[in-house]
Amino acid sequence: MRLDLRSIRAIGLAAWGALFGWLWLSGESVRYLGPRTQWVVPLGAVGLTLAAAGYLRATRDMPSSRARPLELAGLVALLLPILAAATLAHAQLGSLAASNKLSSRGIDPSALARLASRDASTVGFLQLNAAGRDAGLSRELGLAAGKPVQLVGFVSSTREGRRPFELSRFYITCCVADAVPVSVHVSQGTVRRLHVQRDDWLSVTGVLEHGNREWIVRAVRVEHVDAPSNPYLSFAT
Amino acid sequence: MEQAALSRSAPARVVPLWVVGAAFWLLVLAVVAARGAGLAENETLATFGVIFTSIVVEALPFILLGAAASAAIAVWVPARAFARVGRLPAPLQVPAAAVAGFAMPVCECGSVPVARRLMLRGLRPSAGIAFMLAAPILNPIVLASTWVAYGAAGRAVEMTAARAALGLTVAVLAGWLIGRGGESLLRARAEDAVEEHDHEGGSAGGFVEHLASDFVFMGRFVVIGAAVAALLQTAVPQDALSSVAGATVLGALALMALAVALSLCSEADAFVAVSFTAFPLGSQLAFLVLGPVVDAKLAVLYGATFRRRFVLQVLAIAVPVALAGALVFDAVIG
Repeated sequence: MRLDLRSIRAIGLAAWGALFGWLWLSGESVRYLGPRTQWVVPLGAVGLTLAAAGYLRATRDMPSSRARPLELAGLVALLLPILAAATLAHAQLGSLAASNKLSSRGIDPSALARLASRDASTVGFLQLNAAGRDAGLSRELGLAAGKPVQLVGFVSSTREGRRPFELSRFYITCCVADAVPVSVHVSQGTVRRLHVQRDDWLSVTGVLEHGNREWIVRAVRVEHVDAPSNPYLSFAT
Repeated sequence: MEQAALSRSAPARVVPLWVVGAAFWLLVLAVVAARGAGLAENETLATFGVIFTSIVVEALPFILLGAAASAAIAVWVPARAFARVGRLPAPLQVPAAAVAGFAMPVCECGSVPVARRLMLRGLRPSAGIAFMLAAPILNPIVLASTWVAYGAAGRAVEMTAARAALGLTVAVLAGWLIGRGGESLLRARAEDAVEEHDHEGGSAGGFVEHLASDFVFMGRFVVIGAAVAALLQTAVPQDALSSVAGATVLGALALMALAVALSLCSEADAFVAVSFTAFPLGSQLAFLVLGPVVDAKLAVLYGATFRRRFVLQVLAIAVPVALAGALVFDAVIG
């Protein structure tokens, strides 16, 4: 048995249909897409699988097509992201991406925090980061020195000695390419022995204290934890 | 027909099943070995891989939708319908095609196969370009997301209206200037001659054939473009741009460069743009207008779809227009 170009095209479609199906059923799509675009996953799974089956059926009586090297190379290119997804199954953005993003000087997420604070039942990275520079937002969110908070995030940067380290989460809208890192400084506080490295995932319990135009979390308890199954937050949650 | 005849007469070069099987198992072994070697622990590779895959995973369903619309046009819309539209004078056809983008609720990846098909069916190249460039900005989902993103900052009306107006201006101008000669701008594909005649009258089989052909053709270039965008995001620190945040012209140029590098979906880019509050609103507007018109992944897709220099021509028109729009916006609103 030999496969012609049409069969290979169908395999390309079906492979993508299978990847979307796996992302859909396993819930792993949250590693790549935000809540606004999750709907593309079932669309891709069903649409591409049907397209592959329909294409094979529609072309079953046609003569063999020439498998040109460039077309084969194109199909290989089309399959590369599937290989990347299989190889880097549990990979996620971390401190390198956070340092590369336009984060430390160009961004002021107050506007985004106001969006998020419409349902401000919890106080997260976005609210803490924005409210540090915005006294009005702090009042709106009920933030004050001594308020207890609990955050789960990854260490995006560390400094020597007992100086505060940066705990971050990425907020995504459509896909990981639009991720915006939002950080909060954590001081060692009453935690005696603390050894953290970049990209460690931590659960930090502490209280708020005023910093220089920012809220700092003074840690009471710091625990190393596994990365959550959905490592990203969204502006809608 | 011509190609089918050619296929019958020439010895078919097909790939034996054992080669495909061997390639599959080699790939499985390579993946297992790479995972065993802890490739995912390498932060550069992990960052690149996650961004690369996420752009493709998000874009391919839109390519599928675009390919489906393109296939439906090819198979079920009679050629005479396009002949009538094609005979309309350019001053009417180009703006009308651009405004028609409002009815195409897909982002930029989906509009390319549709525009290509419309041009193949007789729409003027200038109108096809205007439609393709306007659809990712003017469609209702994009305008709504811009409204929501800037609502909290109290600039929803200004930013949404300015984005729509400036996007429409760029699309119409680019359409007129690039397509004014009237000659075809498309790169020829072997299937085109067959596809345009084989399925007159319409059939589900023809629809699926068109769809698969367009999807596989466009998809591979989206993959290459996504790799370029992911490489830029992984290797180039964006903080360098923040030093020009306060400068009106340089700020707009910097954010336009960032829009090209990030290759964001036009349905999400407003949420990223609104966070660049160190930059003037006009610069954010330039980011929102240029990104859906040209970015890293689109540049590769345009290169494969249109003749040489098309990307440069679009950039040569879109960048000055977006910059001028940004400056006017800052002077009037900012």
